[in-house]
Amino acid sequence: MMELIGLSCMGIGLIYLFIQSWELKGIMVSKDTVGPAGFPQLVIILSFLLLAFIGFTLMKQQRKKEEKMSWDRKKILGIHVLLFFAYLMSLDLLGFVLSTTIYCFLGILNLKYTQTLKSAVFSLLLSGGITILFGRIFLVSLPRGIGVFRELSYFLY
Amino acid sequence: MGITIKSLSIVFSPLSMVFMSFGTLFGVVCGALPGLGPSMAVILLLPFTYAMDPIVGIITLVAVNVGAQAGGSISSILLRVPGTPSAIATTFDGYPMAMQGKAGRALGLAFTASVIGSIFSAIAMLVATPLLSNVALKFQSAEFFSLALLGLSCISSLGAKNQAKSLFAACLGLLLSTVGLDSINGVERFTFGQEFLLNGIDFIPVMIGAYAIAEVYETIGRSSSGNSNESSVLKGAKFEFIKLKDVLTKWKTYLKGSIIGTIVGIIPAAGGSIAAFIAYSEEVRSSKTPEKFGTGVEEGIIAPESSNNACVGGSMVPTLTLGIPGSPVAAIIMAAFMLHGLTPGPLLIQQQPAMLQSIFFGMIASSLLLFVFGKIVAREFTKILKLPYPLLAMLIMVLGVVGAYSLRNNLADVFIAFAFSFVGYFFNKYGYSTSSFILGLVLGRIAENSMRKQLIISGGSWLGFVTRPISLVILLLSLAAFLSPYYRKFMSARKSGGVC
Repeated sequence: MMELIGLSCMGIGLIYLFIQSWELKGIMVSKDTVGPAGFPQLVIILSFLLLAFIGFTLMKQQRKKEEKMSWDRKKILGIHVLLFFAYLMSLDLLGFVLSTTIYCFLGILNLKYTQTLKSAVFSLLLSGGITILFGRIFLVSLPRGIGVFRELSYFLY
Repeated sequence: MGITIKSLSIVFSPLSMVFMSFGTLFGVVCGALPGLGPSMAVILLLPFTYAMDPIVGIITLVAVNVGAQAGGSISSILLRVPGTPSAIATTFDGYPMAMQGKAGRALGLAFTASVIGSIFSAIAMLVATPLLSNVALKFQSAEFFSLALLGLSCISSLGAKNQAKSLFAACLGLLLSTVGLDSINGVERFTFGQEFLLNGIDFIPVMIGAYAIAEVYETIGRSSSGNSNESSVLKGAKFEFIKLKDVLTKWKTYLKGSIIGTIVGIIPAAGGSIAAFIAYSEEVRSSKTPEKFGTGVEEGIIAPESSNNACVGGSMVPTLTLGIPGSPVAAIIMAAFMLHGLTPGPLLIQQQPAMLQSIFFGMIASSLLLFVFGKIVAREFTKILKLPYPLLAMLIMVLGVVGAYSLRNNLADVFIAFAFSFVGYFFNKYGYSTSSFILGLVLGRIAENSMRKQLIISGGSWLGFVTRPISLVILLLSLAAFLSPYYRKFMSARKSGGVC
């Protein structure tokens, strides 16, 4: 059932892109018979045909019993995804070091790892290690955050 | 003979050996770390070569490139996060092998293939440089289009369980490759006014999301206590040297991968990732059991790894003889030539007669050093697998974020990885081929652009693709590669009486 819902969403997305593709017009290059819209339109039509075939086959098949995820696991996964999203949002605010340390610590605890001290040490080592390796040695400009976090980050990388 | 002795004395001098060893080790480490890769590794070491003798400087940079191309396989196999774009195809069978408790063997195969690929291309570079550079110039849009199709042709094998789903995934990848500015008309396609989409969607963040992050979601969803395969993965995680007997039994795969890599390397702007995909497709096409690819087949590691390292020597051919870089890394090495006051091109071989042979010996030495440094770096990386899963999961997530971010120092790429983690999760759960999706994304732009360019060249005629001999041969090979799994299925059904 979930697969069918997913495929329906993709179908709607494909229809939307197909409509959008009609507006793709630019400077015409002579003999460019395909044009900027030709290739995407061909791929969308092919995708749609395949999607219809997959959907039709799915509906024809007897409904297989899907392996259900327990509520507990769903909760852990849901929190993990939310934590990750919050981490990505915080990168530009808190900077790489602090947001990574907090994310790792909370993420590890969420995965039911019971040793809190080890989790904290690991989080610090991971964010510190990656900052030194990428930020200082390989000169990758990691996110610095804003305000005081930005100023402090210049001491680290 | 005098030139050979001079080259040998330069390459095997203690100082050169120290620089080459450091270069190879540095390359392997950079290759293994997602987000860095060969170009970054060579750029970082370039300033250190300013004060060196030109030949020593160049062979040090070549050693970095050799190391980085091989190092990419380490994180592909162990973490499902390709360290370099050219190691993407290694993930298809490398990671499943690691999950079966054969990580050490997979790493051994990857490094052995890399060594053989590098040495083969070095020999090809030395022996056939003028001839090969002429062949490279014959590659135009029609041939590029055919090459992209050849790379795409293994979709039918990657989706052995459900062909329609595999083709659908590939189509979505192709569609995604059209996002951004159209390189021929300059039209913005599916950018929705977002500036970060103008350059298109890079495949590295997509891969990190669809493979690595999605894998973490899946493992968390399966069991909250961690990876069920953890103990078996650890048991086989020790780097395994591949016996000569094993190499000889699969000599065709090593050879084919090396030849493909060398040829693709010579073609300007092709590169290691395309070589790896083509070698993988060719291996699938010629295999008696193509349906097993993607489940942890040894040939699925050997083919891409031998070809991506063979690209190193191949890309040096047009760089040295024509002054046209065969890859982005070769372009940086070309800049190094110029910094040392040398101009790559036809006159270089006359002005610096020891250069070509020194690069040849340097490549062979750094390739052999790969065994030593590959084992050391792989050993350190396998220690990561001993971590409890919650810690390992966090490490993969953070490495994924850094890998996606460091591509363009842009958080938008990280959000792309996040978005595609859900696509990867959906694909894994319902049996769609993520590999086909990535294949479509990587090769889509090359296929479309070269197809349209060829049509413009041939005045809108489609015959241009079949009237050029090289293009025609590659097209026929692509067709054979695409149809062979269907043909084999048909034949086996016929034998068992399923089809009359």
